[in-house]
Amino acid sequence: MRKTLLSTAALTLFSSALLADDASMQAEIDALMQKVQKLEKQQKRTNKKLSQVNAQSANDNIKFGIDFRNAVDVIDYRNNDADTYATNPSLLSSRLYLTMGAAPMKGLTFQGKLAVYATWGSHLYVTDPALKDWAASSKASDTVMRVKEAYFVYSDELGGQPISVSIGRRPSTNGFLANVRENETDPGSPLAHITNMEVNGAMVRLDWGRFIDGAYTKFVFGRAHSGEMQDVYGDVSGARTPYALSGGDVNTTLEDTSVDFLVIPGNAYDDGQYQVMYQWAHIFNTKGRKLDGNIPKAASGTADLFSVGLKITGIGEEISDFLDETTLFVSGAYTNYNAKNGYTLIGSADGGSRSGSSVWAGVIIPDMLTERGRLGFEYNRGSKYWTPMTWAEDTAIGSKIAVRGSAYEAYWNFDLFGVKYLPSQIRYTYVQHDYTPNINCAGWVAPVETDITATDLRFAVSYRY
Amino acid sequence: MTTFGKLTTSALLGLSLLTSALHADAGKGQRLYQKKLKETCGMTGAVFAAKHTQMEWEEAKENGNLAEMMTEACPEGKNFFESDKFESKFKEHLYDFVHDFASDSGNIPSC
Repeated sequence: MRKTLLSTAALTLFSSALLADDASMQAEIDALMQKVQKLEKQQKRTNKKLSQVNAQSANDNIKFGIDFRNAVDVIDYRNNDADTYATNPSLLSSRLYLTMGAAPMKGLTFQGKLAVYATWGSHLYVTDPALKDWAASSKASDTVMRVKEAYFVYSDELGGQPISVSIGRRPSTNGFLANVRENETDPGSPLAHITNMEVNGAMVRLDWGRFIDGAYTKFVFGRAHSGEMQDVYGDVSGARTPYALSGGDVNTTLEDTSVDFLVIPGNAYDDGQYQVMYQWAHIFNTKGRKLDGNIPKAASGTADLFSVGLKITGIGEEISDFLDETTLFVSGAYTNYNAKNGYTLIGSADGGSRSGSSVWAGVIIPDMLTERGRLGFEYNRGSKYWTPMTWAEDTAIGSKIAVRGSAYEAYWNFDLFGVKYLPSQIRYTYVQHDYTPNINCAGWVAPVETDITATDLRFAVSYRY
Repeated sequence: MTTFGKLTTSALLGLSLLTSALHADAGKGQRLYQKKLKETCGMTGAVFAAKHTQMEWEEAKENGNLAEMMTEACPEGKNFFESDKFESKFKEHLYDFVHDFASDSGNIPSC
């Protein structure tokens, strides 16, 4: 009996102890669970706050980028008719782009690009008459920092129609098809076959993506040259007429009219592999020559430029890595210059017109040596009166796209040391001019048959981040 | 070619081949999305990438569940994200792209 009682007591005590242990363990587990839940909540809050800080630090300030390129061009010109030549074995240049971007709210962005593009040992200020605002940061000159791009874009929807508006100095250089030869990832806005100039304008973009893959149309109205003025205090020292000519654009000694343009570029289709782009550009009051000889470059008429281009990024569907990484493109373009009565444009009759055409084709393939390296081969052909607006094209021997004759080009884009922040290039451009070289805006010059060869071998190393 | 030209060519050719590390390419990832997923997912690449923060994409990649997270963002692309090709060929490029354009990346879309 006593034994039984003792056993019972021992069992009771043991059970109590076990129960007590279980209870305290459960309490500890509960406490730990609470702590874990608390920590999880804290972690969520921390992540949320970190995202806010991250977004704020990026969005609430201007984000800067650097594109710093050093290059050497080996240039050679041969006039085979006159048996003369000109060479430069080492044109050394540095180009600095300070890129800017800001997005203070959804649907509103600002983009900017300040540029210095100088030859080594350049003059302090280059004031060549042919170097205009439309090529100021695109041709190697002096060490002055200039605004290459600065514009804002506001995007919204109007009754289900996506629309963007933008005003400023446009991203109008190195556009569609030209960015690869410039070793740039993203193309500028217009089609480089007919437009490659720095200009200011206002843009409206309508997106048609809900109907056709990647489709959109832009309407850009802008000014490429300011007329009706000579300087900030007028054209006569006795007259105080800031930003205006006495007598307006009929001033007898300084007749000058603003050159405005309407450009309508767009994507007809883009599914990431096949891309078709188109553009029509209309130039008002383009410069030419007055036939009575009084004023050499007055507003002489209008110009219309058309282009359609196809780019295929990746041949076929995963046939091979080589074909996946191959790009083909072909583009056709047409220009038509219409002179006003009493005027001539690129050698037209009084009030007549001149038309020109061009083709541009290229292939870009993996270099099979480096991870991201590419080899590019391009061909251009232009007719006698072919006159695109490509004066800002960054080719030391002048725009090869504007050639009245043939141009052949090969380039190798690669990353120096395999570092993606050091994009580099070796590029060789061979241009055969069959007619007067078309290297700057000169609507008053009538093209004549010629035989000039120009070559440019460029080595370029960039730092880009 | 001038002596200067020859020297420069040789130097650049030599230097370019010194290193050739494997690079993922955000631009390629963007093109891949446009070509293979945009229509399927019914949203632009920018919208797809902005479904998560940079940290969330990073964690998914580290934990080996990037495909699951991408499927969550675009259920219609499940077969693509679970394919061998995604794992072996596309994953790195697509990751670079979504990370570059995550909701808190601060990257500014171009005009």
